[in-house]
Amino acid sequence: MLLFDPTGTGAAFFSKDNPYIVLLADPVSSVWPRYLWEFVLNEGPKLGLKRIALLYATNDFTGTQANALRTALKAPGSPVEIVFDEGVPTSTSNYTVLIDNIAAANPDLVIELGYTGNDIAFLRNLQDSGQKFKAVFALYPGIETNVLMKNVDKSGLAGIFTYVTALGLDLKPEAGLSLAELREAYEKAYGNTGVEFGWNAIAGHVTGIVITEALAHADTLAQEDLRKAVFSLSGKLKTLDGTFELREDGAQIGELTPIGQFDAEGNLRVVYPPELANAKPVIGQT
Amino acid sequence: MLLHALAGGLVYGCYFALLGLGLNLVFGVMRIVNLAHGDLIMLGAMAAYFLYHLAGLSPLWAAPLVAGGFFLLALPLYAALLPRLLAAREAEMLSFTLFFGLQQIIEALAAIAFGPSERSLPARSLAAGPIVLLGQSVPKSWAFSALVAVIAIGLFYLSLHHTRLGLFTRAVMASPEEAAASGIDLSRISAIAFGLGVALAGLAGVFAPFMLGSVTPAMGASLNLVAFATVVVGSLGAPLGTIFGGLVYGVGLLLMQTYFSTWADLLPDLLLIAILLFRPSGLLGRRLRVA
Amino acid sequence: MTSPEPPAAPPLLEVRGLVKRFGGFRALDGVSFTLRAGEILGLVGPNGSGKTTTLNVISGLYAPEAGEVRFAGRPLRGLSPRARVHRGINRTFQSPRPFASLSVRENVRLAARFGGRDAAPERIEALLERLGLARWAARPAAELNTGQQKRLDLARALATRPRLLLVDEIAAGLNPAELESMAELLAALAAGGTALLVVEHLLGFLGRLTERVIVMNAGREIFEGRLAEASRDAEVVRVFLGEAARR
Repeated sequence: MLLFDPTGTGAAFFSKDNPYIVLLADPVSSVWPRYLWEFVLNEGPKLGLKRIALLYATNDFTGTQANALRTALKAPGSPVEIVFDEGVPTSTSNYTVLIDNIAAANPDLVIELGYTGNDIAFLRNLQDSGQKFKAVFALYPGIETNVLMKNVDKSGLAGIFTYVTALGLDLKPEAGLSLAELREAYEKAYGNTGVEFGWNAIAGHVTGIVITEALAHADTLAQEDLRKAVFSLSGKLKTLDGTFELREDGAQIGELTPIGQFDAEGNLRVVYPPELANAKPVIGQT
Repeated sequence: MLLHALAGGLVYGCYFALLGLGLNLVFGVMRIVNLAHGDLIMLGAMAAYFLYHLAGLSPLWAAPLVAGGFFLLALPLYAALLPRLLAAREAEMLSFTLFFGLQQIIEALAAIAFGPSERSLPARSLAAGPIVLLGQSVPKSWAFSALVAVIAIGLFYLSLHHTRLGLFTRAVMASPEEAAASGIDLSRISAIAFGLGVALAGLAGVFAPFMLGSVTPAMGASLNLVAFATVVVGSLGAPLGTIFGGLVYGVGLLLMQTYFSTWADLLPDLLLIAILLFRPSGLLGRRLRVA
Repeated sequence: MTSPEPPAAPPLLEVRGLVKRFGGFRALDGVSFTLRAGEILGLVGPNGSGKTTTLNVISGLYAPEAGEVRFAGRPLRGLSPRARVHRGINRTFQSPRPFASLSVRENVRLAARFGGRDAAPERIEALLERLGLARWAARPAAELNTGQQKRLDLARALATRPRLLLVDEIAAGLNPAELESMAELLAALAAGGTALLVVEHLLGFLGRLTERVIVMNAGREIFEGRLAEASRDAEVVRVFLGEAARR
């Protein structure tokens, strides 16, 4: 028995003595924010982003990311300072007081990590509160861009930093459909079910590809053989999500998510890392 | 920070009073618990969403339309479900089962019909930007929602205390047996109360996309918990106590977010436990039920 | 205090041969009496003798197995309590049950509507004034003390303008001053033409209202006549006064 885990990224799921799980379609949560902390540590001081506020939902996905970020940003010699650090329940739908409290800490960059509903509420409350920050990062605008665009509007997303997933990168896959092909197929199949096309749709597609490839390479369907087959793909399989890469405990560490920023027209441009960037970060009043 | 939590909490609390009001009215009159209340709020939100996006109707126009429509839709629902329930010996307990089932059905059908994605109304459909209240800036759309809630609650109060129907309704709430013996038509009052309860849920729903950021078909259950907390804190069976309960919840939530943000969603549970331990009849209430 | 009317006037209330059983227990076993407008009739007897059951049959809460109740010359059989209130019969209760969370005034208003009478504010206010409840009119009924509750109960009955008022142990729990004013109130009602059937344990109180009593035991009348003479009746002494003397 081997658990194909599509997108359950909690770091606690994976350990060396647990050979029963492999993560398929996105990186483990502790790796998700790698470009984010690199961006803050390397570019932040130059851009005047030295005081960081961290607000996160206390579930596994966002909580783990917050922990990884905190550790990285507090490392000895860090040029930035965390001035606000609060977790909120994932059920939180009211951010006005939190935004006010964050403003009281006078941060340069606000990093808000939530689920879809959290990010919608946060960004709407931010827009309606009249509070301005130099820079704001939110997690889901880059993951479920359609949903966020519909709920927050491009006026609410303008200037927001977020992860750029396969949605915004449009990588050329060696296995599976291209972004345009997948989007078309998805709209055809699910267009009127009310489920928006987003990064999770890509993750589902990639999961299918990894399983297909694994089955093609497996000698038997026994756990050890399946696991060996999945590991044999590591570093080789290039999908819409990027290069699939497994750590020995089964956590996925490839498919990294660069940092992007929305422009006023609602386009998401990559601003970090430099080798992928197609725009410069704009620091202003978000 | 404290002032902001208080000011924002009062505005937020007005809305939560509206959220619980219908639930408490139905409980007060019929001694049944409408566990589908939160899902009716969700349906009200969906109705407002489609009225805005398909018909271009502002939430302020949608509000009376949804409330009126929900009232009319509630009457056949009442006729189909309630008389048999109310005739049962353990109506209060059975109502949990019945309305839990209804809640599941509504949620499932809504998920099929609308899909699980978050939906919302743009703030500009009501009012964009901030407004300064008590020296604190809060979203204008919240202030509008709270204002509508205050108006609805005010009208509800007036009709409950200054109309004949209101007097009959309060008589039924005070003692159904005695009211029936006094010649009050229980089933008529109950049907109207149920209709009003559903209408108030629908009305609260119209403003949910502003107050809660976004809405999904699955939001009903958690709204139920909040509505139940505001009702119990105020006083079970006394609709006006719910106003107080809503304010306690609103201010409490924002204070929790300010000082213990990680634990904020424990608030409804904490309030419920505290009330059950120390003031089972609610902060404002007398003991209304024996069981 | 009773002012006998000319014998030609038909009685307002005629009760004939009432029988009421609860299972094998005969609560009423052939009770008969009449009552004229403006007259006060006392109904006394030990607990369980059938006094309150008699009121419940007349007010329509219970249907009798046998016998008949006629009011103003017409039979009441089959009429609901509400219909009887509309005919002009109302009652007070041993333990009043007002709408606790409603105000005193609202309780009276509801009762007036129930009786099909106009609930004109000035009439309600006059009634509250007369019953000494005006000061508490806006308070919830739950805040009243026993004496006030009894007066509210009476006000609710009077709001329907009864021609026959059935009064069930209204004196219990009242202090001497309250007893005095209550006796005056009931006497004034009778003087105004209302017939009163008064179930009462407190014979001193009853004696201030009327001389005419029926003594009941085990569902039957064992004495009808003047209260003062009842104490000389051997059976009454045995079943009732003996008990009363122990009080």
